Amino acid sequence: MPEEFRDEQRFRREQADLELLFRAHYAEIVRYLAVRLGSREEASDLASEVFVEALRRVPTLRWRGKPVLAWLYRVASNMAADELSRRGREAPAAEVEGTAVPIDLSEQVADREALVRALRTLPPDYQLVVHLRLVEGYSFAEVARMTGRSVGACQMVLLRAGRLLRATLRQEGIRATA
Amino acid sequence: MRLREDRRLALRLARVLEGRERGEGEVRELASLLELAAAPARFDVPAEEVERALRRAPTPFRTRRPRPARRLLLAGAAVAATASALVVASIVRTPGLDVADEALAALGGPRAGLRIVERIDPSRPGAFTPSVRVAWLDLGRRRALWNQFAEGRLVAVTLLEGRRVTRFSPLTNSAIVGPSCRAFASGCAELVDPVELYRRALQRGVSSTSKERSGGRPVYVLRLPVQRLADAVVIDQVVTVDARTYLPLRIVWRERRGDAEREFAVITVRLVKVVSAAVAAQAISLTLPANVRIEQRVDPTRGVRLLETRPLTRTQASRVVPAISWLGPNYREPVTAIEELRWNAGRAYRVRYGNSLTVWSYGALVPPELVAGRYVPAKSIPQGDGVVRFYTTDDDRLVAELERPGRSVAIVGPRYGKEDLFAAFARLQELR
Repeated sequence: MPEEFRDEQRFRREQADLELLFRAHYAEIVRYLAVRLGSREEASDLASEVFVEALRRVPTLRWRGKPVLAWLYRVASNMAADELSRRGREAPAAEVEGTAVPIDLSEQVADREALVRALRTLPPDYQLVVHLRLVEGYSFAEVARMTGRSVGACQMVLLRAGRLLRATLRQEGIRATA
Repeated sequence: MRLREDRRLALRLARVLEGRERGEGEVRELASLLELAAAPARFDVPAEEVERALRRAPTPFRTRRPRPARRLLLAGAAVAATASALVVASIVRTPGLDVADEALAALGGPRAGLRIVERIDPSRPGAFTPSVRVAWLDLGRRRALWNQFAEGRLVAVTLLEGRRVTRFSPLTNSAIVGPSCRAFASGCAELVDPVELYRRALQRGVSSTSKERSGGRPVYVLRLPVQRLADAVVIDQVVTVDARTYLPLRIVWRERRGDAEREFAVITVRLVKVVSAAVAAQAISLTLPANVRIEQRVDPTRGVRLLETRPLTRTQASRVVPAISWLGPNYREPVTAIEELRWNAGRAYRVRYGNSLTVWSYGALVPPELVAGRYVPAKSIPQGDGVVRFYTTDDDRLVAELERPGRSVAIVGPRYGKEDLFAAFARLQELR
């Protein structure tokens, strides 16, 4: 079965069963929003709003080669931008709870809070690529499909995101070593 | 020129982040930064929270069940037509969707609680040990509990809550907790229930259905669409369903690797009973003994990156705490290397005997190259006070693993058979 046909089938399935859509993607939307907003609690609230919007809009979406998840991320990103703009300030750099992967602290030269803060200063589309590839573990091909970029462009975004992180940390007087 | 150089760096960064190369200079620095920045966002959202959020969502959030697209119906019809021309045994062609609906309803719908007793046998005798599993499933809340018996002994009690897995080994009085099934070396194979997998497939519709007779009673034989599982393995299922009760009697798993396809397991469903959510919730609990040893594992497939491989002298290796396991200075071949491997999420030690045998010692992080890539149930053999699990990795190397808190051990022998590896376990000792 061609891959595109499978993707379209999945799109139709998720479009027709919003409960399935909710269960499949709520958690990752919360994780994404937690970084954007700097608050786990607000992320949960806003994720619920994303799915309320999905209830209204997803049944009317047309298949254009992208999964429903891409639409969810786009809505989540827009809502996060609105929320940050509404606050009129940078969200506090709260530590996101429940780190799943313990980091070898001997490698951790950058202050953790500064790093999280730096991540949140990245352009939203950079944050999205970092999130999809490094947090959720999607392949570059999947990230490319969801963001509408080529694989090479996604790889370039990661390179630029890394450089921006480094530059932001240096401005704060933190120097990372490999 | 600058753009071309950046493209080259971007590609290398991607390879480093995928663990395919170690990287150096700027690429390594950026990879470390990105990993550190992404790590706090890899938290788990408990299944209970998802359920709460779902309950708060406007009703009715659930819409009608998906029906296959017209193209799928046409494809199904084409498959059915071909099959009916080839398979003389097929008596009646039945609309697949009707049977699928009935079969799903017999299992209480897509989210009902289930109690299941099933026996899993290899299609090829000897491929893995037959086992009996007694399972409680409440997948609506993403919770499940399995008691697994092998050779008449209870070898594992496994609790699944969302993606989090707790595996208790009564034989060693120890428990290992991981953020997902991938945190266990033998992978996700033991953590997907065949009946649940079948139920999930039913929700996507049936590729073809035929009505036949088996054991003197009418049955439906359903061929279900292929499913891609957590280990990126593709399987399809042929399920025999009682034509009267619509409950599954037998499930045959076929694994697809590239263009090849082979049957590898037969599941005999001895009991499947729909239970209320309350009953399932009460049954799905695991109380660990007070003195149990617990180890927290890390998912080796998510953002884990090799930082360093360092050769150790025997003196250095003997000072490692907890002790490294090995087979002595000679085991058919002399030791050729003792190495410490350091990832961003943990360490492991590797003792090599020539090119034929490697002994791994590890703790919270299963070395990524040990992670099973195939959807074949691990062969579990009780040994002493533990259970040795045999499995093959993605590149077809045979692994025997003794899982225990603090220091698990795995022996990898590309040129060895199961008996040889099992014999090697008898020679395991601490490197002191």
